[in-house]
Amino acid sequence: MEKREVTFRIFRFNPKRDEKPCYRDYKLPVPKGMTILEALQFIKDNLDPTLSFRAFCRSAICGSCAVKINGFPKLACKTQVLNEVEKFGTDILTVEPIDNFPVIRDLIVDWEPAIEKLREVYPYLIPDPEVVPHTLEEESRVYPGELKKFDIFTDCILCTSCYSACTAVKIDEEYGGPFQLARSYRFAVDPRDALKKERAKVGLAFNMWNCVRCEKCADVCPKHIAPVDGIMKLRGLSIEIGKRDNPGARHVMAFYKSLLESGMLNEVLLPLRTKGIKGIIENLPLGVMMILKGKAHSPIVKPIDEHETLVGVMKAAMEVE
Amino acid sequence: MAKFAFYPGCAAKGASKELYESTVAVAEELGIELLELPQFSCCGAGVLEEIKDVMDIAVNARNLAYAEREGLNIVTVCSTCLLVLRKAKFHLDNDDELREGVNEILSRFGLRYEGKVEVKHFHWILLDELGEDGLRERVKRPLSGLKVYPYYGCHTVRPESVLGYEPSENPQSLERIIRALGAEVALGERRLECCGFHAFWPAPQLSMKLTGMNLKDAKISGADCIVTPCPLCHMNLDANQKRALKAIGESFQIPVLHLPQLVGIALGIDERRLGLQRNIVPVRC
Amino acid sequence: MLQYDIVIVGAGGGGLYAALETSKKKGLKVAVISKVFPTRSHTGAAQGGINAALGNVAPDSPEKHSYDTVKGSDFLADQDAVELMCETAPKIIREMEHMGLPFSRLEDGRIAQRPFGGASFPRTCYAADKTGHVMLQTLYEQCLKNNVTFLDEWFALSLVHNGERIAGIVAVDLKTGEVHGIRAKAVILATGGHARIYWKRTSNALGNTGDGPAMALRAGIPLKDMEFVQFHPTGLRRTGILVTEGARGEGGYLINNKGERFMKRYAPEKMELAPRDLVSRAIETEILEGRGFKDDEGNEFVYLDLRHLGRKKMLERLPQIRELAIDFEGVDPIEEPIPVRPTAHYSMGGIDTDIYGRTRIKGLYAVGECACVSVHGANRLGGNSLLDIVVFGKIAGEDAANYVSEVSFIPFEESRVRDEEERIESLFSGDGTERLADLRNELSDVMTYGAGIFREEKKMRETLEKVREIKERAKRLKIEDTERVFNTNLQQTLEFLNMVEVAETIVLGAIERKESRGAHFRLDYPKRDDENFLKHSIIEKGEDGDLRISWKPVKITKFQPEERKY
Repeated sequence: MEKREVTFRIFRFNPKRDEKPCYRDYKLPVPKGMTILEALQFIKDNLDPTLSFRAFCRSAICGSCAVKINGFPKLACKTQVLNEVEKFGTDILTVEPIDNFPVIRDLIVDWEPAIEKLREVYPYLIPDPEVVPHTLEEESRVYPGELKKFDIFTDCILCTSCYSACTAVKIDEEYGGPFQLARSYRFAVDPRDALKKERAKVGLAFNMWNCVRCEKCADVCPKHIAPVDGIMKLRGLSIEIGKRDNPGARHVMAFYKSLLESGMLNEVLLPLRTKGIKGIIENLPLGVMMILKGKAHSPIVKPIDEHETLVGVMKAAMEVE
Repeated sequence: MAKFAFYPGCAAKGASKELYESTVAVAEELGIELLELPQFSCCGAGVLEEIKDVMDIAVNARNLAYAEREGLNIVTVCSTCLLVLRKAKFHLDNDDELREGVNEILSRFGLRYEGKVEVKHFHWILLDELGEDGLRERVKRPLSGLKVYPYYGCHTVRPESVLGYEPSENPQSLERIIRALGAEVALGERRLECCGFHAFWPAPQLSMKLTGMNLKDAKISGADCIVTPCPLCHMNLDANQKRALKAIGESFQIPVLHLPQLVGIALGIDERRLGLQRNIVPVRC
Repeated sequence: MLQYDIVIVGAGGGGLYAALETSKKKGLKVAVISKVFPTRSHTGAAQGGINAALGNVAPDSPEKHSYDTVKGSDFLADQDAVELMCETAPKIIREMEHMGLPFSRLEDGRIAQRPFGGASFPRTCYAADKTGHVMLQTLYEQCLKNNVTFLDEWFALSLVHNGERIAGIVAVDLKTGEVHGIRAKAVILATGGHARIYWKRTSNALGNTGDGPAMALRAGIPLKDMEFVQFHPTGLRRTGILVTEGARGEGGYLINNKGERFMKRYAPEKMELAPRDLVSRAIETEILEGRGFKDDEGNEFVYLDLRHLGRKKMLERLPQIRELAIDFEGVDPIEEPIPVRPTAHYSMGGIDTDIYGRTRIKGLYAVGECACVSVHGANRLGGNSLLDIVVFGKIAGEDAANYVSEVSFIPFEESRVRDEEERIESLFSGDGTERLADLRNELSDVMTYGAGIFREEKKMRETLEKVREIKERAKRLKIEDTERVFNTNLQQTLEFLNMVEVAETIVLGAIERKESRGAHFRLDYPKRDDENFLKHSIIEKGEDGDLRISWKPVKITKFQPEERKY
């Protein structure tokens, strides 16, 4: 069978011994079908037994083997080498440990910072005595429609790829993290949970409004979960329970209001509606500049045609269970 | 030439009118017919999902339905509108129950979503309709010697499962356009990083820091200017440039162009029609 | 020295359930040590489901569940253990449901159940095709809730006891490479299976290397029914990665190169849903008799065809299977049939325990796949392994918690830690004329040849000799990575040494069992022989280091042995 020479440029580092990391190249013939994990194991078996990486199930369910290939976190076991070669148009693949974690050795990182945050978000069901039976003779009822709301988020394998890719985590140490906040949401909408929507407060404590919605977590998740969707829904729950006195929630309500008023966003009123007078003052220099440059529009926005259908759709949708 | 339902989005209709102007001018020049539907509403920028996901989807199903009624595919110039409309479509197309529920609501207003309409970004259709060669042929003023930093931001590429026009980890559409216009691509590391726009209100410092880092990367790459397909990224990179650079302790100026502005310059369209005078960081041609 | 009342080795479903049970008892100091982060454990890979006679879909009873299990075991299971497991099943399912486990549901909100191989009713509770995964996650969540202490990425090396009672274990902290003694009043082994011995064709994780049974063997504790290794009928052609029985439960067909659903010749009634051993032999027979397919790389296989299920059902019920087939086999089962072949999957044999998980040494317990209670006998039914681990994890946890409140610590000789340090040291100073990868592949080849799906005396004798030779040659292995921090080279070598030890017991048991029963099929003795072999094989290591085999009767309560027909 046809094989292709591929160079794996692998990050090597033992913090106990090396001053700084280095990259070592390993060239090997890659047949069709070979995964990154098989390539790493080939290198370990045949070229360099000291190469260190984690791997366990080989089938994308245990979450051990997340590494960074050409800059993007993915599970080594479910990533075909030749697909990456083709995608990046290169025969050299860089393999590095995932970001946002201390490196233990080579491709092995210390997950603890992310797991510590998981522990802090009450990542377990706190049974609602009204719903969960007190005896083992009965089950709680969970209707398929209820399960559907959180089912996808139970697919998380804690591979931490999303955490390593997260833009907010990189800037804000206090930020809860994508899989952690998504798990909060998972329990918040489980009918068996006692805290229910109150779990949104955990999201607030972990700066959930700092999610920049870069969609990286959705893009890198090997289980096709979009943690960002869970975070946005958790924000929604915080608004539902009345946590509206913050710029994030007010920003949301400003959109809602604009749509009901005219169907289009009133950008001129956004600073005022989101941050009040403070918003005006903070953004005053910019506002003046925009007026001078002819960018600002009138604070009165003309409604779209057939605006009543929009209002009708919005109201009807709000009534859906 | 092709005809599309034009979905400019609130930014182009509002504070980024230069994007609206340049898009219309470029489309006219290239013979792409844009029909702006007066019934189109704001997509909600994703934040409607934070009130109720079904409402977010229903509002955008309404937008999609109007385009379907005209028998036209949608083209937008805003990355976030692109993502939100496509996400709504993605959910509607893959969830029969949801689609039926939303259609029940739409039917009360004489509307229906069938799933026929496609949603595309303006720069995708430049490549799809003209291709690089077609574009090159139309260039009247090649941008030779100009080094352009292609800044994708997030919502034109991620998540790939929803956007899918090109690999999210190595998109090339902007590079292809830059080269077709005769300009050079500035190689940087942050072309796919986030500008932080969507956290601007709750976390201005975080947002400004991210934008600052992106601007700095463009500067380091030796770019003469940045081009972006997203008016929201543009808002942060251009209008907030000074503040963003201050957040990372830097101070310099780098012009930031909307993609249609860059294309328009190369096509020889008059600067006023491209709204270049409206950019906060001055653009000198 | 570290000291805990109870140390649990392994953090899969069995270990975590035991931990949860012990955490209910106030004031106990318990630690779970695991060579992988808990949720990486192989329980997570179990896709299809967990059996319990809930009767949510069709009337059912624990007694019928017991009968199916005993019949599936080819009457080798101990019936008191089976009854205990099947009676506990509905309760433990509900207990996990109350913990938040996201089971798939019926329209009326009750737990959904589906049919599974060897079961007479739709009895298998499931969460799409990720049942083990959500179970593992749920149990881990509950452990976090109950503040269970975890020593993640610690690898157990040996058991320390005084011939009567357990004193603790010796383990290496992989992150630092340091060897530690851990003193404990009770130790619960929950280390999982050993089918990785068949390295090149197994569904198992890289770490399912029989660490528990190997440690037990070295410590003079007997293993039971080791000859029984289940080959799952549907492993992916290239990697052996599993395609769950759920695929057949949902209506998948097995097809040979004549386009026939060949199961009609082997199990005309149950067809594809016949028990695993029968289906595996059927596939192998088709291949041996020339009715299989062969690819460019020389892999032989048959097809698992799911196309008739349609896109919608596939995406709803079997999304993970579809993705596995695409990622690892390049085949989209919506459009193409999946190439499959039997793959070494489950170890019925293991450390000999009673129904409380107790072993010969007081305070030492074993649960789950590393143990043999025995509830699976000669062949495990689909959906019974997840059940086994939680039921006996719970029982052993409870028993151990009671036991340790009544006893005190016994002395733990420090020299035992030094022994293990020296054993590791010696691995760094071999002459290096043998390579780990080669020996591992050789072991896999000889085991597949002589102790695979079809067995016979001559081949097994050859295999036994080869295994012993490999064990000798392993002494010349040299760990080339001299670092102590996270030395995966050391870990893989230790795991290999465990595998060789366990492999020898499999072959020995297989030679001595001169009959065919369940997963153990002998061409030279193709019939079950209840007169001579309705008994458990027991293998232990004598003082001289040689393996000794003896036999133990099977406990029969309600169900008299009968011919196993499907």
